[in-house]
Amino acid sequence: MFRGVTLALLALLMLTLFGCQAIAAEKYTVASDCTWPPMEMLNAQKQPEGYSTDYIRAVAKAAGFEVDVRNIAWDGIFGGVATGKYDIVASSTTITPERQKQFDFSDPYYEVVQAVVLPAGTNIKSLADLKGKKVGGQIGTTGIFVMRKADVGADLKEYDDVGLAIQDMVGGRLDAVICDSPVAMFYVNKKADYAGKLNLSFKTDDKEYYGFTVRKGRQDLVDKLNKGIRQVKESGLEAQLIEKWMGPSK
Amino acid sequence: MPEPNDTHSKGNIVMVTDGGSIPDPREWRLINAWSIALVGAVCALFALCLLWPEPYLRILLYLPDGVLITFKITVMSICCAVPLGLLTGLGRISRNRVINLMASTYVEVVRGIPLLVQLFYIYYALSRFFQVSGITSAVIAISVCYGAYMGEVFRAGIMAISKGQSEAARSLGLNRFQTMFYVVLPQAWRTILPPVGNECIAMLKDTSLVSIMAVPDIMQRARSFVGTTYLYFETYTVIALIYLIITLVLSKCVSIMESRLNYYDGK
Amino acid sequence: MTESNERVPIITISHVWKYFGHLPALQDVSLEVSAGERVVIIGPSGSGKSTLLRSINRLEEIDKGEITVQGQDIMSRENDINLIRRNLGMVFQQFNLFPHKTVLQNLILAPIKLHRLSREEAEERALGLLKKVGISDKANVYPAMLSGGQQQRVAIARALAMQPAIMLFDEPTSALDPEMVGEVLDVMVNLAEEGMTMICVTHEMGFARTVADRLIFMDQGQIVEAGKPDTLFTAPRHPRLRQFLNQIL
Repeated sequence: MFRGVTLALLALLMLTLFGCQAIAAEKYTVASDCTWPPMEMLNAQKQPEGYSTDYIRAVAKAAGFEVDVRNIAWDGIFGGVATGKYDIVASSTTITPERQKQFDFSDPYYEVVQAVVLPAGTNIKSLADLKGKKVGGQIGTTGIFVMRKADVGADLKEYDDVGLAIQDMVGGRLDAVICDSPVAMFYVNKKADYAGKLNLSFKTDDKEYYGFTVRKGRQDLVDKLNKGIRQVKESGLEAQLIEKWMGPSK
Repeated sequence: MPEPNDTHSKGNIVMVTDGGSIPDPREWRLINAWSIALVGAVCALFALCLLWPEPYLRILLYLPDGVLITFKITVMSICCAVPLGLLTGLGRISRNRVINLMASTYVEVVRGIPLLVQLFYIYYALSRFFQVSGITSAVIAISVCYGAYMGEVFRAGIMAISKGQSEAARSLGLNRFQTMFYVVLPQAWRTILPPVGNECIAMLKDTSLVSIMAVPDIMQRARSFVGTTYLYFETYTVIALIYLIITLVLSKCVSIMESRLNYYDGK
Repeated sequence: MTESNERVPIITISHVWKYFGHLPALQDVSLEVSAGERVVIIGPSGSGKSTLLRSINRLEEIDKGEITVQGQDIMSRENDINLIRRNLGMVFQQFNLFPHKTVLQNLILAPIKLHRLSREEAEERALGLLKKVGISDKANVYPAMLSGGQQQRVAIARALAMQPAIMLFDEPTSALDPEMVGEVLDVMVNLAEEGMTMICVTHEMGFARTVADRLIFMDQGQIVEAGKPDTLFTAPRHPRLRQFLNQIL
């Protein structure tokens, strides 16, 4: 008798669960390393915000799923998506051939170049001018890769986040910092503490494209993301987001 | 009233540290935890590199300069932390109130602050007053931190030497300093060495924190490698094995030194 | 000092008080010891006899009163206690040999560091002393290899290596197995015969009787009775001494 009741309850419970899931939109966990302003950062309430964050939320809305954006350290962010700790990385991830070997990417949602930030009053004309200089960047970011590939004989210092590198340069222990152009512009133009102390001196010609990263083989998710991205671009929402986070275009 | 002094007591304090466990020098059997761990680690590393040179050998070859930096920081920190620990230990047992208070305060303050915070503090926070390189900051932070821990080890080691020893030395006319350096410390070393060795090994492991200051030690080399290749499992497996091999070898060195210090046991 | 009169006190202890916490260990103790005199102090445990002995070379710091050694106030800041101690050899109940040093190294440490002797001179002196205490063959072994009696003889030799004017013995045979007491007492008797000034805290009544010029009985931090050993042993005046002698004899 008792067993019968238990089984009935269990059946009811499962029905409810499946029923709910069928009704509610699918929910995906999104990882962002919120040390990359204005693309991903924490607001005063310690919630992730920024261009990538807004963008993935807009994509989710357009494509009909829900997202829960979490702040995850960059060092290890790819490991988490590979092991399924979260579904999507929305963290200004440049689509590179190396990364594509290990992960799947959505269509590009933003275009950047690498930018070199110097202390105010100093200038370079090319990466080669960084020869013998101490150049900082965030560990595992494309800025570091670009410097390595250029192999100009700079002393490359890899920081846990780009903010520490900028701080160290302002302090005087670094000669230059390399990072994505929007981040560089943010530190040079928008960060009050560094006003007048920094100079965005050089940008590379090679364009890079941000994409949302998912685990290899999640074609379903890639399709959903691409559908959303298309809609965000077409609806003009993307232009609004760019204006909101990068300022009015020149 | 006769005092219950016993010249032959080896000191019955139990010290707990977070370093690797030092192999017992009297343990000469071929199969023991230490040899299993070492042989296992070395074999595992070799096997991985031979069977799958891609990526394991590539990872291994990426690391040597990191190993060098890790060693450099560790050795320099030991050279600073051991004298600092000795001074602190002496300060803690000093009868001079000011010195005693200074040493005790230092220990209290430093022990209450995580090493990672100290590293950040010296490198990033104090950079507004003075600027030192990442490696120097690392050595300062680690020495200051471990100096405090070792201070306690030295204090306990010195206290474990029976009072009769210093009384005998003082009664001959040796002053405090001579008594400490010719009579008490040489004996205290025996009690002090294993925990100090443990601290040094713990120190080596803690150098993995310095990568936050963009110092390219083993750990940062690994992270940087992972940052390009996303081979988390393979890279951190190699790193773990390398740290393990280094600490096992070091703990054996400490153990050998320890057995050398036992020369006067009369056994 | 122009004359070497035997009656000149080499140690004076006057009205000395010593407290351990609130407990008085020495209560108004006064004593004078002349050069060449052999004083033996007896008394029940806790009577303050070791404390008194240890106060003489300031291993215990007295709270009140004055102690002078060869005319120098040991508590005075002007006098270097380390210099005074060189003249006060001390032998402990627990030997307190330095276990990390060989017998010879035990003997030469202080003379080399303090008398600025060369190693050769110090070793020569040390070997002479080891011969005197009868263990020259053990010069290069570590103390842990020696029996208690041998260790205590080395300890005596170590104290003598500083060529002190006075020897203080703090129950030197109490930690020894009975069969080893004799060899240590023999060394002490020899030393007494050479005219060394000695103050000895002991329970060895036979030794006290043969060696002591003066026997002092302490109880409860006070000198209760003092005098010739024969007098004290045969005709104790004080009831507490009588009681003590009954217990141990």
